[in-house]
Amino acid sequence: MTTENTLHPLAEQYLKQLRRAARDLPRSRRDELLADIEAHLAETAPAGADDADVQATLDRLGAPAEIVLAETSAGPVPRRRGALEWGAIVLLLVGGILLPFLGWVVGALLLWLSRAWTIRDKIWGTLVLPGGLLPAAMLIFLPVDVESCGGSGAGGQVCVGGPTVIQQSINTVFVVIVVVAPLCTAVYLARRARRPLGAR
Amino acid sequence: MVDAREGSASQLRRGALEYCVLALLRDHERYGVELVQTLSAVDGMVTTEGTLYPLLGRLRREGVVETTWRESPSGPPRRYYRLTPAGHDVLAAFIHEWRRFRDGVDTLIGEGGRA
Repeated sequence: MTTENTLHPLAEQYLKQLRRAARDLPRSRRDELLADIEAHLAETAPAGADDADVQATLDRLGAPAEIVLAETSAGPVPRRRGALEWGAIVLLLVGGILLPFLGWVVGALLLWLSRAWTIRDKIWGTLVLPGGLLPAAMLIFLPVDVESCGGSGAGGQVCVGGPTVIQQSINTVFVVIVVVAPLCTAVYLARRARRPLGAR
Repeated sequence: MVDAREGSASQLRRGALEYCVLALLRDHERYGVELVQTLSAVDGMVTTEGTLYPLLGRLRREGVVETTWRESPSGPPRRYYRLTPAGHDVLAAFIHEWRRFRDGVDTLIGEGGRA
């Protein structure tokens, strides 16, 4: 498909603008689109055509930005769940554990840098829950109750009177929440990142 | 408010457009420019021809059409579009739904107009 030499100069210029406007599309989609439009122009705006006719052809085609927008919103777009998005999702979840809290901060930063989410998604991703699974890990691996119980008496008998059943079940519910909430957020963000740019 | 009305009218057109593409391919294959020019020759169907190519690309990814590039006897290569069996099914289902829908709307519009 080397039709470059047979295009009218105005069409060449148009194609160049389109190439620039399409630079953020995934490569395969961009190549397809450019090949299609180039074939269209090769047919309707050949080198020898009248300037006014070519201009009319280009006007009918529409602005390059408009075509790119249509391509962006066309169908089930594997819309850029790229390294940035996966980095954000993973770091928000376990970053705080790998690099205490700081890892989560980096994840939040990536979340806000990405253009794959709406502001609402980003607020949700930041607030549920700060630190990701870090609070859960702290609760599970640093059992505060048992420690205070152990410190208060000499034997195991004192511990029986320590945290009541109600307290324990409240703790359990709390642990479940801090484990489940970040996981739900991660799944939510992964799904939302799929939404095409044009649908927002 | 008027903008919102125009928006929904153009959504209706956009929604029907892809089935018009399938309908054009029902009996024989066509190449890109041919499809685009046939569609835009129909009044009110296409506003910007260029946006049809993203639509064609989506139909291809969805597997309702398939394409082959072929040299043309006089000039640049052309991408030919043809309906797949799945495309035929989708088109048949739409035609059935569309007729029901159109008749329903016509009935209601007709009654409203008379009242």
